[in-house]
Amino acid sequence: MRKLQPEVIPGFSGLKQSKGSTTNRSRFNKMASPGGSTSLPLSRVKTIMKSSPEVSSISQEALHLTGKATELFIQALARFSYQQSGDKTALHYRDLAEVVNSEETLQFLHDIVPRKIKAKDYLKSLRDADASEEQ
Amino acid sequence: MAERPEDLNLPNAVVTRIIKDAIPEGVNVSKEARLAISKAASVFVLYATSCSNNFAMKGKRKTINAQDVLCAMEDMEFEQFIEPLQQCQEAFKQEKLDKKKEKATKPAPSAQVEEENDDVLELSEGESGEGKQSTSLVSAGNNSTVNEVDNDSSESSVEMIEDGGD
Repeated sequence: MRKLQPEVIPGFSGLKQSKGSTTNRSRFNKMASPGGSTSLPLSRVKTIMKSSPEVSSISQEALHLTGKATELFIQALARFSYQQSGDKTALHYRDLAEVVNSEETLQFLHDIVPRKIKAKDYLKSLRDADASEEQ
Repeated sequence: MAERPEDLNLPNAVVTRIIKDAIPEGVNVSKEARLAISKAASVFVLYATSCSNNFAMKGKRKTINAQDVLCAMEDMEFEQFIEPLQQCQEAFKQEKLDKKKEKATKPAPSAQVEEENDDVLELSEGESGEGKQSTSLVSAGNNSTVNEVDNDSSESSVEMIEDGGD
């Protein structure tokens, strides 16, 4: 599935672009076609935007575009995680965590969607760190 | 503005629907995965806002505009979103225009004329199919109802439409 030049940075955007000509494209267009409408509630998007203290005001168009971009982002994240996962019947948290932690462009999500680690392994890593400090 | 922390989450139902549209039918999305995507989307909004705001500040503006958002996408390395966003922006503008047209034609519903219809049709040439459909509907309705010419009202409404175009 993953055919990317090793030097070109993220598979996330790379794969999206190569997919552009196929079925996803038409779906993309279909979603964009009912005028400029977005499915996400813009009032909520605005609330989130305004929760950032340095933001003073947002034009109607900017709000609209941010809402749309978020919609595209959800689609892209879900689609890419699904494509990267081995399980084709379900989308799991671990698929998302894997994508978020391996893609450069998704670095801003590292703290939000961390890889899960077993308590046992975590404690072991702590012990190992202690041990190496003592030495 | 956000009094409760839930106010910063996007509605679950909508997010779920967008996810379902993006992946093949019948694929199960675990609750945890859904929650993670939803949170990621909220953070995406904040990240995009912060980047857009930087561009607005660089331009010494207080209001974030559409161009700032597009620049932010590039900055965030989501270039693949720019093209669909521009399309969306066009559609948004078009919708606004259509609404203005509706408003412009409403004030004199009984005094609409064939002359006016011609102008409106000319203006909407080359626009989306939606626009054409609505204008043709308007013209059909008018042809059947009105014969009398009222130059004043038709001119003023056309001017309003042109203003909206700019």
